[in-house]
Amino acid sequence: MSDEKQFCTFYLDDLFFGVEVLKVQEVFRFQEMTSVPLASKVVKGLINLRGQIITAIDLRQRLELDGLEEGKLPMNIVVRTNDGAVSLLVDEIGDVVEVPYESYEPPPDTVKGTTRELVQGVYKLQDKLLLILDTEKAVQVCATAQAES
Amino acid sequence: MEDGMDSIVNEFLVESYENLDQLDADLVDLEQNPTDQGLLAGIFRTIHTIKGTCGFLGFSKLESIAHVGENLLSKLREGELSLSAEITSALLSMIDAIREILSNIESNQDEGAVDYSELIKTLTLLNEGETGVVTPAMSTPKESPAPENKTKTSAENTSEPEAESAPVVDEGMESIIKEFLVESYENLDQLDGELVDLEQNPTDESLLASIFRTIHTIKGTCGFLGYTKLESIAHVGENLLSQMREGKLALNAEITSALLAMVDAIRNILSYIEEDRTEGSTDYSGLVDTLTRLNNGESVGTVAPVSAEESTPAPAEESKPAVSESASPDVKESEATPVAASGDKGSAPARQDRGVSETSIRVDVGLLDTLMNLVGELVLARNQIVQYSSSEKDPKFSASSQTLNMITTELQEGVMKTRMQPIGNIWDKFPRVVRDLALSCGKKVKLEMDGKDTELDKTLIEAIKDPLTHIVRNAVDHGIESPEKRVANGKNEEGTLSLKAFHEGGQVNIEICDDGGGIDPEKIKNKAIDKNVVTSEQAARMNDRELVNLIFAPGFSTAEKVTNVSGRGVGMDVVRTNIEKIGGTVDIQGTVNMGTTLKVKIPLTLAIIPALIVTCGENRYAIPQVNLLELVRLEGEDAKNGIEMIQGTPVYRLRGNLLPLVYLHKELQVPCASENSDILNIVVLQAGDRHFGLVVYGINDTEEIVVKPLGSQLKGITAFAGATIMGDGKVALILDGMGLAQKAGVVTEGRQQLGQGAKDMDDSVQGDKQTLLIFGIGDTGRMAIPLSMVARLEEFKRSSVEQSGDQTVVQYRGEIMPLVFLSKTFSTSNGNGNGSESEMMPAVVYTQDGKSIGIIVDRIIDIVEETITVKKESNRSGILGTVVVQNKVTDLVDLEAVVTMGVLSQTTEYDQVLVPQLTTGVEA
Repeated sequence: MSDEKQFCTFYLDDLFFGVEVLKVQEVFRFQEMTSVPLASKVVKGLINLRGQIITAIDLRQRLELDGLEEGKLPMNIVVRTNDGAVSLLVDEIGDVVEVPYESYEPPPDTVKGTTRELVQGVYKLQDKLLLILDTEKAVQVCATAQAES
Repeated sequence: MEDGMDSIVNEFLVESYENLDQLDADLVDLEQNPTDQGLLAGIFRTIHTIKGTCGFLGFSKLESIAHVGENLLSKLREGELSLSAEITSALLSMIDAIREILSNIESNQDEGAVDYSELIKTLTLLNEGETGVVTPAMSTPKESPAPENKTKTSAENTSEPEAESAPVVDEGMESIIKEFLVESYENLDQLDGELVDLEQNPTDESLLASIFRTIHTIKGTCGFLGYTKLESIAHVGENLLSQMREGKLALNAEITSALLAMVDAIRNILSYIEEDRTEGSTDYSGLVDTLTRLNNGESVGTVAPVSAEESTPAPAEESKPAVSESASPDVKESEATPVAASGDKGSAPARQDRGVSETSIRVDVGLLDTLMNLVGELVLARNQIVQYSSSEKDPKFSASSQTLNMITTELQEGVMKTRMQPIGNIWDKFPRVVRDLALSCGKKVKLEMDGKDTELDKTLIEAIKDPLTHIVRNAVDHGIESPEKRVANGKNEEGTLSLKAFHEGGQVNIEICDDGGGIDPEKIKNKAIDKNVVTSEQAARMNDRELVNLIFAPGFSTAEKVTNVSGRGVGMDVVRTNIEKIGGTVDIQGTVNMGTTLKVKIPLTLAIIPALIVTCGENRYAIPQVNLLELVRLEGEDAKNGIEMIQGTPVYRLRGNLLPLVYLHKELQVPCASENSDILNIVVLQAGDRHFGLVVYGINDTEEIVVKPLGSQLKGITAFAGATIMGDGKVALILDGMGLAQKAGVVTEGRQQLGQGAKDMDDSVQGDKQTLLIFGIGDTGRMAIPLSMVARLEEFKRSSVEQSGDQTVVQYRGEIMPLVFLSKTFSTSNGNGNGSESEMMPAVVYTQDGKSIGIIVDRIIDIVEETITVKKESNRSGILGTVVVQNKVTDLVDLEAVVTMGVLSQTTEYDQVLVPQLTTGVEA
């Protein structure tokens, strides 16, 4: 494995997340979307991305965090998954960071809940922790989540 | 089988399947016109190609079959035999055998273990049936890889055309020659590349094999067509290649150049053939000589006289009789003029126009699909721009957007056309199907086909193939009567089955029409009732056309006439399901003794569909037009009063029929502001056999939409069939009528009503799970009837009750409906009952044979689904027994008896009103 890895970072509440740069198709500002009735709350809607219809996933909902405060609009990170492109709605997009592999650690067992499920690992940066999101899992669960709602 | 061969085998399979389909049709045609030389030649050629190729690929069983077939055909061609039904059948079964072997090869790369020696014997016998008469000199035994020694005449027959040096160019041949040219040009282009490749990898066997095969095909065909010059060139080339294939010669630059020169020469000759059907006057003997010498392992530089015979035996031994047919005379006769083995010869007579092969190319279907998708995107983008341009004032912009609009439309049509195939592609096999079937049923059937050129999308062609075949088989098997019966009925003893296809209103119409016995609605009705497809009361309400269409109902099978052909129970419902799956419809009409007509309508394409755009809440939704029946708009008073309730379920009376209503916003659980509005839009949709009304907020417009699949996150939601992008760039969801209906419970109920209603009643007292309507009589009396017997629940004003003679009646839906007061019938403890003082009287409406009877009860209590067992058989008249429902004792009402007591005593008009036997199933 190479020593350095690049991650596209984003903020969600007070958490700092990263997605492998190669998995990210594009990043864009908030765009109007069509809500899907009957769907899980995690599915925020459908976006027309240049003729391609992609599902937008509210990552806050997905991680069981509180909704974004009033008046703030989320941003889109379109990631490539096995099921095609899916957009993740996040609070704010950060920089692309390059992190040394040595600073990697699997998530501590004490982390509980959905976060534990969706976080692949943690990179210890100087001033904060970078949580690596498992995008496949993040976009998957929605079919089952529908049953709950 | 080695890997390199796989692609060759695959190609062979594809080609052969195509050829076989063609053969089927040709043979049947030939039976009609036994003297058609063109047809015969086409058949002969196809069999010969198959034989040749499989010989080369080492499928000896296949080859031996094809070989005897070929012999037989060649006899026919020479007029030594004339075609009889026997021969046709034998040939057709040969084709079947070949097909069977091919499918074996396809699935496990070998020919399978089936023994075809019987077939070979038949064919040989047929062949020899005349050979005895023919000059014995004809039969010179030649080596042939076929195991049978009976193949003796083959070499003669195949080489026969060579004798006639003049090319045969009658009308029938023309198309064969054209096909040959297209195929050969394609092959030659490929050859060029392959030869060069081969020079790089001289040991690549699969490459060599492919080259060999191409040359061989050309040789075989042109030999058959009588182009001797071409054949002789191809022949020496083939010899050379076969030496290389056996490793006797190694490829060098010299040989490659010579082979390329040969390819050029062939191309040259082909261009001559294309122009005037002659081979031209160019002399290629030098080239032939060069190739021959190379074949003998000599370098071209050294001039040495060679006998051509030496070169020929090698291939003759190892592959097939076709190879052994001798081109050597030509080689011998040709003067040994040494030529430089270069391609310069080929460029001499320039071919300006290669029309035939340039007008058609083979394209991967996947590529076309991609193109289609892209055009879909373009259409969407166009829609957006056009919408935008209408709001812009800039004339330049609107002009160019208009141009874009037009071009896009044309492009869309053009790309659609590339995926279009004539329906003839599937019809071609019907002559064979009909012939075989008619023979096996002992019927005479003439097949007429009209509109073979009608084109439709390739995916649709695939989808309707099986349903159509089924319909055709049905028509021959059940539709058309036996000759005797036809004559007895004053009809021509030969039945006519006509297929018609045409475009109409953006749809493809296919009509399958026979002049047979037609369908008797009465028979259908009885059978349908027998099979519990419908209840007798439902059947009684149906008109003839509806009855005839019952044959499409699931579970309806013409079991009494099970033959090996049709009536196996899979039946017409599968046909209908398959056709409806692609958005089509099927309808059947028939007149007894006059025949039956089946009309199938299918859309031209699937990718872009017309849809109705509706709004609900803040979103728009698309409803595919295929599901759409009609739109109903209620305004003002109608909107308020038009909707009635059955136990909280809204219904609307649409021309006298109850239409269950489904509120879109409720189903989708979205807020809808307009609930109390005085305008109500109902979209009447079809879901399976049922209709239902979808109440939406607004109806916008129809639009052509491109269906896009939903992501896996949304796959589970049945209410949506997909999504699309609207003109303004926003995403709209496509509603799935069936899914919505299921969600709202419209369909499952409906299915039960139609399919199992009768069954339910039979079972009603046998302890199965039942839906019961519970109502009250008097203070405490609880009674129940199966819900399936209830047509409607109503309330009548006490004041609206009138007397007609000694009958109590009420005006109901423009009719006079007799009333039965249950409380009186059972004269409960409280006499007339306590609750009867209120103004409104709840009534259970029960309908049979189009006549309704209102049964007045004191109150409706509940509808329950419960397993009931009769606890105590009753001796009271009108009561079937007593059951426990919801832990309370409830009397099960015998509606039949009640009606008899209440009404029939007064009038005989309702004699026919009979409830399906409820009494039979009672068990204490």
